[in-house]
Amino acid sequence: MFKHILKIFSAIILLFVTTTNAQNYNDAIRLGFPGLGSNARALGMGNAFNALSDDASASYFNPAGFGLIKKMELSGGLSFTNFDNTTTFFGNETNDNTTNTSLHRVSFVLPFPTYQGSLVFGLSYHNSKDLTGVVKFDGFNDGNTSRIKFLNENSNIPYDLFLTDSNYNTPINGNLNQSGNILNSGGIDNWTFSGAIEVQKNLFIGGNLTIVNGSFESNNDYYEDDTRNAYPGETAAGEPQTTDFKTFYLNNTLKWNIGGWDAKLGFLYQYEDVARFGATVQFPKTFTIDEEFLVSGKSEFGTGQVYTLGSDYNDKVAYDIVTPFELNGAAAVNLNGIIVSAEATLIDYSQLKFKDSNDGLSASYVADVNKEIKDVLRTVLNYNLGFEYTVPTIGLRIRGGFMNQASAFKDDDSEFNHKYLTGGLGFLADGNIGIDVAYAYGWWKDIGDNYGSNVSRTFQDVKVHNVMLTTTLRF
Amino acid sequence: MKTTIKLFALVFVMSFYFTGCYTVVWNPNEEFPDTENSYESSSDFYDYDYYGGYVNYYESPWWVSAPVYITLPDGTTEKRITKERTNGNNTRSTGTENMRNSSGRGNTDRNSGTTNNITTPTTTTNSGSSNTSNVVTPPPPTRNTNSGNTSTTNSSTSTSNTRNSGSNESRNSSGSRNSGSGRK
Repeated sequence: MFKHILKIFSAIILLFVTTTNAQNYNDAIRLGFPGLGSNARALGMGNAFNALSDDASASYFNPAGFGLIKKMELSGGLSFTNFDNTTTFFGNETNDNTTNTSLHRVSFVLPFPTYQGSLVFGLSYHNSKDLTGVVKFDGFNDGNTSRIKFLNENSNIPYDLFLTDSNYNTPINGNLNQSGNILNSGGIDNWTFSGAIEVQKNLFIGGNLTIVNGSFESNNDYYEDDTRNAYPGETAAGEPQTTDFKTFYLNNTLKWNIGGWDAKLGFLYQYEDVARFGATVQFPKTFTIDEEFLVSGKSEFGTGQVYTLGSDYNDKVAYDIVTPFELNGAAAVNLNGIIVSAEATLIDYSQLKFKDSNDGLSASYVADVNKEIKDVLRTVLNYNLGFEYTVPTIGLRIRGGFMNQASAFKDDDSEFNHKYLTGGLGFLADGNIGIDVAYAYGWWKDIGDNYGSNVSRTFQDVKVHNVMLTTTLRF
Repeated sequence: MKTTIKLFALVFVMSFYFTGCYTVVWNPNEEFPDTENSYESSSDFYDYDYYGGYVNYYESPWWVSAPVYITLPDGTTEKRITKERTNGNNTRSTGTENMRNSSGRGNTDRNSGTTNNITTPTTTTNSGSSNTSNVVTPPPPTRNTNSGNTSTTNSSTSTSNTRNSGSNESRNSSGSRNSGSGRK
């Protein structure tokens, strides 16, 4: 099960330590993996909304759905995310969580007056993905590996911190307490202009053009402590101030400014009042990344001596990441007030690719990363299921759903898939104000290596709680 | 990028080529057709019996009056879209004005006599935005109250309370209801 994952993380660490250009397929997956969207009604139905799409969130799901909107619409809402991660690290369990509240959508829809058919345009700002995350770990690694040792093979960081002598020799050989945390924040925002038209009775075609704007920051603290006093002598031979090694600390901070664009084409057919069928083609998204990578660190000794790293390891580069086509097919059936919907999305993650923007990455490096992507990632079929029941007398809507976002890595078990169980309620106030609330509970497993392959591994049990509120005014 | 744009444009244009242009946009310089159901919409997905007030929320174009759902004596619901009233071009015909407002007393006179024009009471459900629960049952017909009480329907913005009150006084007392341009 883990053989490909081992390979992946080996490659990640190798890339990281051999060059400052540490970009890899994890960065591509971060942008290519689907988010939760920005519509409480849809989320309550497990985001099985492609075939419905009869509100401003059509800009995210299926732009052809704009053709179903017959009133002007102004909508917006908030999203709250609680990301909870329980990590098992050398038998020691550590829990941490982080939260994020954001404005997830502001949209306006304008249907043009028609004698027949429909012509509708929409302008929307929406958050398509929340990049919030956290990992915390703490455990004693009694093996003969350490990050100090690993870095010493590929960089000058241990040398600069007097953890080696002048010939790069170090007595440190494992038996250290390893701890740290990784805090991720940011999101992907979209400015989308959409249009849809009814080309035949009940057949709608729509498209949109999106300008992407977002940010991402990953702050990684890592410690190795000699808690069992395994190294009481000089760490750097001939340097008495390095006697009694205590602590090695390394901080990596990755900062992204994300730009880009993408386009989507959608089709929707309504069969009388019984069913709707939708299909979309998400064209490859081009993300432009302005990256800043900051490295800091220090070493501490029992003599009171402390050494800190300079800024030699900081780095700035720019590059593009292009996501693959995404093909979606969906259906929704209307049965006496109950809507049941389902959809499936085909994504070939092996077509994720980096593009050199001539600002820091060599062509050969980009080619190597793209080759690695093809080796470790796969094609997946995600699916969403949902239902909605309306109580007509009081205007209350009750929703439920499930979604499965398959892991992008080859041979990953289903426990690595991102699974969400969702529910929601909707109200109609004064006949023209829709209020929708959704809750999504997500769970999956993940792993991560601090260095090497399966010698300092975190086994993560992730649980996500998401609450979304959307208010819609139609007039 | 160019390839994507070309493909995008090609699919979009070809869809019109094969299907023709079904959608006809209203030219604001032209009068909106003053005929019932002049607006040809796609099939309604949300049925009033199951979705209540959401029907108007989803299915009523903002440029066409909201449909009125009338519950017939047999229990079925009938959807009626009233004549266009919102574009300002649908002033009442001279003939109608003459009939209803000519003297200010004609209506009163009309009710003074005894007629046998007794209509079957119907229950009208107005699905307008503020009247989702406004199910009004007219009072039992009597010889003196219901003559001429034709089954006109009002849009959600009209003064439906006076229409359904069944009171001769409120309906016909002043003529103000029919005066001027207040009625759209």
